[in-house]
Amino acid sequence: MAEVVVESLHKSFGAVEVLKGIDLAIADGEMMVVLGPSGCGKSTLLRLVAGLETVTSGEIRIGARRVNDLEPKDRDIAMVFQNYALYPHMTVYDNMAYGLRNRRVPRPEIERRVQEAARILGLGELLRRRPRELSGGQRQRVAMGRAIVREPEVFLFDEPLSNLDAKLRVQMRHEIRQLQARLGTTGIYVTHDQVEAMTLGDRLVVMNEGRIEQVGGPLEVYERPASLFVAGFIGSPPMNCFPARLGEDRARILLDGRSLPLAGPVAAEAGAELVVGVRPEHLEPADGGPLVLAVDWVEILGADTIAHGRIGEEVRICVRLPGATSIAAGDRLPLAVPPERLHLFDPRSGRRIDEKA
Amino acid sequence: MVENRPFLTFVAHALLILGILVVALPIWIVLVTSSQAPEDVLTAPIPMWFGERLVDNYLAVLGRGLTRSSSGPVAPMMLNSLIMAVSIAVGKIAISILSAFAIVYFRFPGRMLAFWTIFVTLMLPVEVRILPTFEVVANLGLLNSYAGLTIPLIASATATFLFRQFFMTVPDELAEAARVDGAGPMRFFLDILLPLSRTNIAALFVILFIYGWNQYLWPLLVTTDERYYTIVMAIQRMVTAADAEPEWHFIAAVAMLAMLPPVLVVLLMQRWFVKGLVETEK
Ligand SMILES: Nc1ncnc2c1ncn2[C@@H]1O[C@H](COP(=O)(O)OP(=O)(O)O)[C@@H](O)[C@H]1O
Ligand SMILES: [Mg+2]
Repeated sequence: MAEVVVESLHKSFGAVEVLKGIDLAIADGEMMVVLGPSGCGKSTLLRLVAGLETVTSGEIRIGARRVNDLEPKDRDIAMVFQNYALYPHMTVYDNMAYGLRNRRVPRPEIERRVQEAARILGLGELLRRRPRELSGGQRQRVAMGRAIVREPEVFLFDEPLSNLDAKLRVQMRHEIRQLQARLGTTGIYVTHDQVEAMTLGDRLVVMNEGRIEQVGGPLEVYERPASLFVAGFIGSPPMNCFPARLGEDRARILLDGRSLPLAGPVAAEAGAELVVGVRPEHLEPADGGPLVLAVDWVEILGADTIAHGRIGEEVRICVRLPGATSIAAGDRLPLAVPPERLHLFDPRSGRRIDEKA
Repeated sequence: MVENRPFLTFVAHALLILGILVVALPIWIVLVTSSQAPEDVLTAPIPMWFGERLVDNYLAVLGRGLTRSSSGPVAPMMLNSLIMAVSIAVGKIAISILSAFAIVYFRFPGRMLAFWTIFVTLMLPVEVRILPTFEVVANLGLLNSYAGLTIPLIASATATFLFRQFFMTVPDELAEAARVDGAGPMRFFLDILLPLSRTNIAALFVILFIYGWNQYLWPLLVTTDERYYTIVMAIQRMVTAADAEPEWHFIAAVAMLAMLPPVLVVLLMQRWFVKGLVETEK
């Protein structure tokens, strides 16, 4: 087991810079989820750690070792690919044993490890089958098995569940989490699915366009998004964001002549332009509330209802209300927000503005 | 339409049977001829049924050879043809698959140039480059040798293109998984690419075996020593034997023998294809 450290890592493909300076420290035994939209460089980061791509500049360490120039096989990692990448002509057993044979692990030891992995993953009956004779979920398990028999320092997962149907995905998510926790192996898990990220990770890295936006625990990322990008990316429906101005006392915001109190003074100049963020689930109907929503359409989802509309002239927001409500298009819905649920961002940098220390 | 149906069926079958007759009749005549005594072959109606000397004729051409056209026994010639066809098929497949492997999986300077150069050899069959190739082979002292018979025909890696196309359909992740699994490039090639290519290899083997077996012009040029004659060129020598009536009954037997191995290869390899298809289909 080992920690993984990435320092000012850059990666370019020709003239295109895909990773623009990544710094990240993953603790021993931790499951770190890398989350971001498609094309932001998640896979590239993972492949650099795996040694499948060469580093342009920066450093990668696994344990205490600098691994920049090591071949994948010498890095003590195991990787689970998105399309599983099982060897189609080999049996399940051989798929799992192949890496061990190349490493000249003695035969009885290979047998022991493969049987153990098959037992953990429930593949015992399938060892003589070929990948094409397996279902998607079973293939996924074989790919996992191939990773665990190696007993590596680090597991690397590149969207391993994206080819499964929704139900199986939930189940496999749970299995991967349990397995990783039980083996205590450090894990890096790449995904663009925020639900997967929130449920699987000890911590998340949110990436955008080759940079890290935020590193933190799932709740921390949800409750204190470090930037407008993270605020918009985490949560569904995404956070409502609209422009406003900071009041003279720096403890309230002004919006169309209305005023919303903040939890305390913040670290920005009085009268400054701001972007205010508030999650749809944190807006509460309240008689005489400061924000009045002119509802123009309603989505009833059963467990909750999402009302879309405008406040003031042009600010569009949505509200998530528990249960099925009787709100309809055309209603005017007064809303209140607890002050601690308001997020403020600098409109130029997009960074979060914190309370004054 | 219903009344027409039997008629249509009849026409369809008639056409098929006609097609088969057109293809099979000459072969039948050759087969029947190979069983006749020499006198019967040359008398007016061509015999359409077997004569008495089927076994005799075949034993004669295989073991003794043709007396009048002073051609030696055919058995060693068949061996020569076999050596030539197998060497060409195996050699070409080996060269092509390795060069395709290099072109697809390695980045080296001049990679595309190498590919196009190989591709251009597709347009240069032996017949086109026969004079310079003969010159080279003669200067290397390879006339009258198996090397001279086979190497110039192997030397164009025409199947490279085919393997390249196939390798490009193999997902990159497979190569990456193998790399993570500690397989070097040659291990990956042997353990993964080669087994995945086996239906392609079988198909190519059939095509190239027949190509090699049917070579006529090249063996005619580079061999003057009877020990290296191939069966296909031998037929021609028998027909044009100097100032003697061709021994058609023997020649027919040799022709039948020359047809046999390609047919066998097709039949044997067909079973391989089916196996490959069934396995991937599951
Ligand atoms: N081998 C490559 N050559 C050129 N560009 C690449 C290569 N691999 C990835 N890229 C580019 O790098 C960017 C990030 O890719 P990737 O890391 O795969 O994104 P994702 O976050 O979706 O996994 C994309 O714009 C992609 O086009
Ligand atoms: Mg990706």
